[in-house]
Amino acid sequence: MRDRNSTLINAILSTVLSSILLLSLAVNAEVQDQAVEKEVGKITTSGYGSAYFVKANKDIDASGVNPVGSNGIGDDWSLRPDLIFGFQTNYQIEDRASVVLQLKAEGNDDMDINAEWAYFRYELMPDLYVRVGRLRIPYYLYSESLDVGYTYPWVRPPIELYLTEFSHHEGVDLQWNFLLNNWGNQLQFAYSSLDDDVVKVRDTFHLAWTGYSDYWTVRGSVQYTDKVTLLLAKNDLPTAGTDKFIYFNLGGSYDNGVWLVISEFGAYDVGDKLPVIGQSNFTFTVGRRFNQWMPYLSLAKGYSTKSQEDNIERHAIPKQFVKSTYAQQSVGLGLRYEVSDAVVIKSEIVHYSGFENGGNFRVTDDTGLLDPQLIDRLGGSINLMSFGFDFLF
Amino acid sequence: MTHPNRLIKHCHLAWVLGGLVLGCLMALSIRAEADVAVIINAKNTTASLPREVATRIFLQQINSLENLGRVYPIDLPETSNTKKEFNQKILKKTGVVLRAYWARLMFTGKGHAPKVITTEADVVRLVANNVELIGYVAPEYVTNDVKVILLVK
Repeated sequence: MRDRNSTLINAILSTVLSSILLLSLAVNAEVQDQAVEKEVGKITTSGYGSAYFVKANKDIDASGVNPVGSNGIGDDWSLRPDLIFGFQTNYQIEDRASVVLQLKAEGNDDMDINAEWAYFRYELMPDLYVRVGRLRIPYYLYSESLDVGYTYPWVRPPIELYLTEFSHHEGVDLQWNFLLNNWGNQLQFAYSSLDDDVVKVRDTFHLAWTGYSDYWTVRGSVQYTDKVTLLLAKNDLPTAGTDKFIYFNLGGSYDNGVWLVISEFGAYDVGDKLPVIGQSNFTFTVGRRFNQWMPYLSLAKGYSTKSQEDNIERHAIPKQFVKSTYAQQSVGLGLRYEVSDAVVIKSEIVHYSGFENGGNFRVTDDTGLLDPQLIDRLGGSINLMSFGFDFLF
Repeated sequence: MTHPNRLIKHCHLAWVLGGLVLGCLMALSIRAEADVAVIINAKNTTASLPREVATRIFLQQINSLENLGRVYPIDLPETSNTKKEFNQKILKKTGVVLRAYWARLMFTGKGHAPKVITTEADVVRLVANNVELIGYVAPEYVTNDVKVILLVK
């Protein structure tokens, strides 16, 4: 009798326990199903940052010119020019609609917080999206993630190509993802405008194609507008008219996990009414991974495609502002080390040269032009050393 | 003093044990080279998927196909052996390359890494319950409720 009772109790207990177990599994499954299927109302946050000590062999900052594309670099070690923190929040409004806000604070900007991305995204149909708001301009392979050092090999992308006076614009873009010959493709069409202290741009059309295969990423892009106005009058330079701007870029990267090769070409031209001239720029980088280590070599060159002298004459620009056409090149050697899934250390030395004759440097002032006497202070070349890390959180 | 025969026996025993250990190691290495099965819901009519197309789906470069409709990929944790095989044989990418890839996608607002499901049994169960999900597991986890559309050895 006792055995019978104990068998019955055991059966009841095992049934109850099994039920609880099945119920908990079901609840767990339901929770996970919900997590996979629906994220409506969910806020996700993520971030990135970079902190690099940087030093040049000459006091670039005091020279008043800037061929390295970053302010505040002198002949002492400094962290401020390459300190950056970014924070991104995504909010899923409904199945197809979301909002993204990415805020950024930079050392050179006194750590003031600015919105780098701020847009509403809607999925019109699978693989077709529309975004409205502030967006990064899709110029080059890494233009849209330029602030996220973790995503590329260099401490700072080759400035001859990656100088982005205007990193973002306000407008609308349409993204279409599709498959062709087993390549993943994304076509991006944007209509936008932008304003800042130096320039006013309206009715800009962008078309960018990005293709992905196993090891290749290829991007081609064009941009066109006939409403660019440079606001130069405040520096006693001639007030600029409004004219066209056309831009073209083709680049690709090959990454098989061991070798990384990146090469890009960009060119732009402007209408005669604007007191600036077109340029062509080229970069090439090769890196070889040894477990977590990756040494790399980068080469870059940029040059004017027209004579600056003609431009000076046409616009009656005072000659002391421009000596000759733009030219600059750089050779960089660097080392990247993956500390963990979220942190990489990089060190880099870059030699900038090719501007002995007073080429029209990349400049930092509002004029967009340069007094060649300032160039002479730097001599024929500059070496820039950087050491620090990028991280994700 | 140890008898010579005993020594020979010990030697034999050492060989046998060594062989067993070697066998186990080989078995482990075979497990490390395991197959990966890409699975969808059994109700889906699609019979097969080229490896390259599966790659594009799991890298979030496309999220719909004519024969599959809208698909949501689901992933396994970094620590999973099947995940490592999947990265190598299907995505053709190392962990380092993938991490930079997902960071780029996420901070350009173009997508994010697929949802990570803790176990392969859960992946099978979720795919069996949802026609829009696509996942991958080691073949021994496959049940009749899901369909293998790609098997990579």
